[in-house]
Amino acid sequence: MADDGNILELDGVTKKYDGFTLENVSFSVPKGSIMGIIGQNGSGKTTIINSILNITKINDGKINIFGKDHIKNECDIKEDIAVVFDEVPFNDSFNAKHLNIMFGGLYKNWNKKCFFEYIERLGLPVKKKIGKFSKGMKMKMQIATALSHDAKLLIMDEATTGLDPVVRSEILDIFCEYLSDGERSIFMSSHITSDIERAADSLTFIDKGKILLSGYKDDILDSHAVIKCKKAEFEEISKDDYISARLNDYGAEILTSDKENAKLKYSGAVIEKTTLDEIMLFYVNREKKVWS
Amino acid sequence: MMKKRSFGSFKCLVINEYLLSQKDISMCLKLFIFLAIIPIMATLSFKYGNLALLKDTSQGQEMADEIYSMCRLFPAIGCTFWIVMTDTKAGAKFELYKKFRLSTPVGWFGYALAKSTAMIILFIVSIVVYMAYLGLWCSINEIKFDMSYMAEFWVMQLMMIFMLTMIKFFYHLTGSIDKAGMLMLAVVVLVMVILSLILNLKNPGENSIAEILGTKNGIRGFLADNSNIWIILIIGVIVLDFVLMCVSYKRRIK
Repeated sequence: MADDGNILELDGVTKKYDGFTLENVSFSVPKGSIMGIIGQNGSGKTTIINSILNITKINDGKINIFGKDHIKNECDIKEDIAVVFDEVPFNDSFNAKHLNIMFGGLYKNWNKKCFFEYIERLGLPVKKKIGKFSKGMKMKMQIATALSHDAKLLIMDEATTGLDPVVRSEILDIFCEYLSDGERSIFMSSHITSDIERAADSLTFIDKGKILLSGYKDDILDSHAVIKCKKAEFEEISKDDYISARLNDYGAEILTSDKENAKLKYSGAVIEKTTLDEIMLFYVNREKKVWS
Repeated sequence: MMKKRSFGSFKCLVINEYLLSQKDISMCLKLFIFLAIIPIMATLSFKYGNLALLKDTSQGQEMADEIYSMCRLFPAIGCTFWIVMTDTKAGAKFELYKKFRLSTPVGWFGYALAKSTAMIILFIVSIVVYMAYLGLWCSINEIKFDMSYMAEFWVMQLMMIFMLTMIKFFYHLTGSIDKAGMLMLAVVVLVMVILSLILNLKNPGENSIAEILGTKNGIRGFLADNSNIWIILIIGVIVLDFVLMCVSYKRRIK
C-alpha cells in the first residue's frame, strides 16, 4: 500500500466502542491535495482524525503518515502536522503573544514572523485575549497557529462549522494558497458539503463507521446523478440501478451511482447533475431504499 | 529517530505553564498578602496597640500563643503558589486541551517535566517569600529567626501537594476530575478524623484542627522536632506527583 505520492494512508483501520464501530477504514491522501471527509454527526469522522493523531488507540489496521508508522514515529511525524479543532483549545486568557511563546516551545519549525504576518493578514488583534474573540476570530487564530510551523499535513476537524460564509471563503482561499507548493496536503472533516465541494480534490463519505464512497470528487460527482420521474415511471426502475429514492406528491427523485448506464436504460427520464448534499442524503437513506 | 528538543523550546514550555496558571498564581499571591497582613497587624497591636494592654494577663498570654501560631500558619496557607498550576480549568476545555496536547510533537514526558520544573521553581519562590515574611515578623517581635519557625510552612506545603497528588491519582483511576476532587476530600476528612482521634487519645481535651497543628504534641511539633523528615516527605510526594503526571499525560482518550 505504501506509495511515495501519499502523505496519509489508512489501511483496514478499526476502532470499537460500545454501540459504535469504525470498521475497516482504508483511504489515502495524495501529496499536494485536499481530501474532505463527509458524513452525518456521529458517523466516525472525528474518530478517524483521533486515530490518525494517535489521540485514541486503534484496535486494528495500519496508519502511515509521510511513509512512517504513526505510532513508532509519533513525535517526529507531529512536527509536520498541524491540527485545527472545531473549538479553540487555548486558554481564554491567552493572546497572540502568549500563543507565540507556547507554540515556540511546541514546534521546532515555529516561525514567529510568519505567525504575526498571518495575524495581520487575518485582521486579528495581537494583545486582545482569545476569550473575547468572536467564533470566527478564534478559528482564524487557530488557523494562523496551524500555518506558521511549515506543516506538511493540515488536519481540520469540522473547523468551518458555525462560521459565516465570508469567513469560510476567506479560510478556504488561504488553504488553497497554502497548498500551492505541491508538497502539502489538507485532510478536512465537515458536514458542510459546500465547503468540500468547493475546496476538495478527493473525498471520502463515511456513514455509521463504514466508508461508503472514496475517490476523486469530480469522479464521484460525475458518476452520480438524480433521475426525476413520475411515480408510475418509478415502478419501472430496477432496484439494482439506484441507491435510494425519495417519493413526494409530484413524483420520485432517484439517486444512481452509474449515470451513463441510467442514461442508456432510462432515456425518457430527466437525469440531472447532483450535489454532495444530495449524495449524502440519499446514501444515508440507502437501507430504507424508498423514503419521503 | 526522535530529534532532541532545544533548551529554548523547553524554556517556552515552562513559561507556558505559568501563562496557563497566571490567574491562579496571582490570586494565590493576593491571598498570601491578605493572610500575611492580618497577623502582622495583630502582632503590632499586641506590641504597641490595644492588645498590649492584655500583655501581662493570663488572657493575654493565651492570646499571644494564638497570635504566634496564626502568624506562621495563615501566611503558610497562602504561600502554596506552586500547587495551583493547572493545564486549564476542569470542564469542557479540559478534554479539549488534552486532545490538543496529544496532537503536538511534545511527548508526555516533555509536558510532565515542564510542569514539574515550573512547580519546583514556584515552590522555591514560595520558600523565599515565606522566609522574607518570617524575617519581617521576627524583626517586629525583636526575636532571632529560627528554622523551626518554618514548620507550619512545611506542613501546609506537604498537605497541599499531597491533596493535589491524590486528585491526580483518583483522576487516573476514575477519568473524572469532579469524582477525583470528591474522593480526595473524602480521604482528607477521613485522615483528619483519624489523626484527631489518635491525638485526642494522647492529649485529651485538644480536639480542633488548629490544636492538632498548633500544639506542641501535634504534627507541627513533630515536624519541627524532626526537621529532616519533611524534606524527605516533600521530595517523595513531588516524585510521586511527577510519576502520576507522566501516567496521566501518557493516557490516550478512549
